[in-house]
Amino acid sequence: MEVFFGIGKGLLVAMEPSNILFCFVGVLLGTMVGVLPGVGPVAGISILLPVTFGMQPVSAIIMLAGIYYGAMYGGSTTSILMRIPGEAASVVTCLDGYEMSRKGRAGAALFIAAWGSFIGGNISVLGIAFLAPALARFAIKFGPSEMFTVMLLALVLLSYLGSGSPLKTLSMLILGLFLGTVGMDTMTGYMRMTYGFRELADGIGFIPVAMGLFGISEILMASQEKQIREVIRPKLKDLLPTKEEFNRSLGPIFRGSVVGFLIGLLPGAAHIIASFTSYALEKKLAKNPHEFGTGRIEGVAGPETSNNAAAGGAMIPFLSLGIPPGPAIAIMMVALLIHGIQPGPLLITEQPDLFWGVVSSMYIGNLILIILNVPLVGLFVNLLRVPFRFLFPLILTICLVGIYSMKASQLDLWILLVSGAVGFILRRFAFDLAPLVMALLLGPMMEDSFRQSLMMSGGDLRIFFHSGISFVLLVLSGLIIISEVLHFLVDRGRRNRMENFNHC
Amino acid sequence: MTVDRVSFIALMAISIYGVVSALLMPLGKTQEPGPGFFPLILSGILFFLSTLGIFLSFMVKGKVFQGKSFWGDLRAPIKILLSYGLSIALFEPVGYVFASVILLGLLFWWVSGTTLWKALLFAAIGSLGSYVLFVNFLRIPLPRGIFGFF
Repeated sequence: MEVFFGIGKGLLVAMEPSNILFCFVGVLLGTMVGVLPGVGPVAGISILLPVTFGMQPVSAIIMLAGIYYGAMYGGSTTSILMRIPGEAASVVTCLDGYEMSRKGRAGAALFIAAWGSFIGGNISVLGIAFLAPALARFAIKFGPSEMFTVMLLALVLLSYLGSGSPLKTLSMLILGLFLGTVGMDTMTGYMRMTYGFRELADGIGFIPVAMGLFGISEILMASQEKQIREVIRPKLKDLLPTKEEFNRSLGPIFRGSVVGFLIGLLPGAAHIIASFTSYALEKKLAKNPHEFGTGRIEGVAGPETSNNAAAGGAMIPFLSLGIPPGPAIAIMMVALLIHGIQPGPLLITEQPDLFWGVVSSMYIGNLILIILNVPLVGLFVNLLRVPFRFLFPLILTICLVGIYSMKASQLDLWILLVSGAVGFILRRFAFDLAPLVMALLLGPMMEDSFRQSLMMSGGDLRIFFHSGISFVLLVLSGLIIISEVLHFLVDRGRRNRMENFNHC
Repeated sequence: MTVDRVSFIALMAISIYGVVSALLMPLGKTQEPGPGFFPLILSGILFFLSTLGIFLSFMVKGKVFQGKSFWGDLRAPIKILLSYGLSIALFEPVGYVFASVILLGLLFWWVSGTTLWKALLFAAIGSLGSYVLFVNFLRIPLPRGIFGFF
């Protein structure tokens, strides 16, 4: 009953004309961000973050959330029409989506992608409304040791689910935590590694680092590519799927919603994992799995539904625990902190308008998205006509303004530049950037919780095992690390044997 | 030298810097950890991981670190970084409009290969347009620089 009352109250907030406008702007910008290859949701949200400073906190989060799930919608367009994923979660959509386009079914693929995203998005919003308050009530009991172990588990899971070598991912995680220690020590006021820069007292800015590592490095990578691809232009009359295509997509849409929502709760690149898992599931359940990759509607419906449902699921740890599961949500968390609101278990009780307003706005946002994406797909396709060489100078200028407007600090601009260059190098060296960024944000909170726990226990590390919750979380973290190491060693051994075999 | 070995050597250098920096701070005791306590633990773990990484890079054949074939064509990224660095250096001294004209002009002309006049025209339009958008509509305060206007 409380949930329905909350949704009703939230709808009143979300239906305010200004909030509808910001929701519309958010999903529109999100779709554009998703359509444009090279500008992911993280870069999009961080570039537009400063615009929200003058807004009410509810409107700001409604707009930023709109950009986030709007990008998931938009990402499918380029995958289907150009075989270029606008967003990492849409990689798998290229396989069958582009093949459908080549067979003249681009319109149907786009319609099903939008319809699936709409259903997946709405189912996940229902999940948020029911699960988040319950989780928040449970998390109110958390003390410093529990908070430390929750954050530890989030980071360990992030490294486990990350791409590439676990050793590199763990190193990025520790490096991020280390960078998080720069600045004034909150307990003693001691300046750590600031070298006389007063601007560093608050630590290395999360937004310049995130924007540099994800946004600027992406532009640097894209500037090395010289490929021009053909865009397939669907006709409006071909937009509706056939009855058979529609029926075949129902099962994948339902399964994709459930899979996506559940995977969305995990930290890391959940929306990417969700789309791949959904594709694998559909292929497994298909009567003719060998037909996947040749233009099956199930290969579009499942993953596209799943990545949108995951975007909704990812809001649960953020809104109820104050722990962002990924870099895009972490930027939303920074937006709340800038407005003086601490996300966490008390958010729902202390800021009910904000929580329910944001949740309810997602229904409206999903509705706007389907209206925008189905008939106006041609308009978004036109965006792809703008050559990247004309687009990136403008994106770089917006980044410059965005960062400067936060603190009017030139040092932040240099941090942005250096992070961009470092991000480019790290990508070349196959390092996963998400753990570094997440650890940078969670680092100061983890350190505080760790030191508070030690002070409370008089230096006894067993405090982390005294409470049932932190004990379970620590054991889980340990098991994940052990399984990661074992998996790594087995994999290395197998590769070595293969190499020896090849040499023979 | 393999790619992995190069990366873990760099990480080891960072970890050594971290250990030295942390040791220069008050470490405190486990009952009352000081500001250097957490950085020291982290640098220690990073040192261990990078040592492990270097060790493993000798055990298994990895991708070899080779200049151009590894980095690709670096001309465009370097030009972008230099243009960006120049505009950041000029951002406060000469103000937003001039700094962004320089940035956009350089990027359109030097990186995108547009003719100089076109690049300057696009840069002027982009710079003034964005100034109106950010300052007049979005109320974002931007530096006016030594000229005192824009």
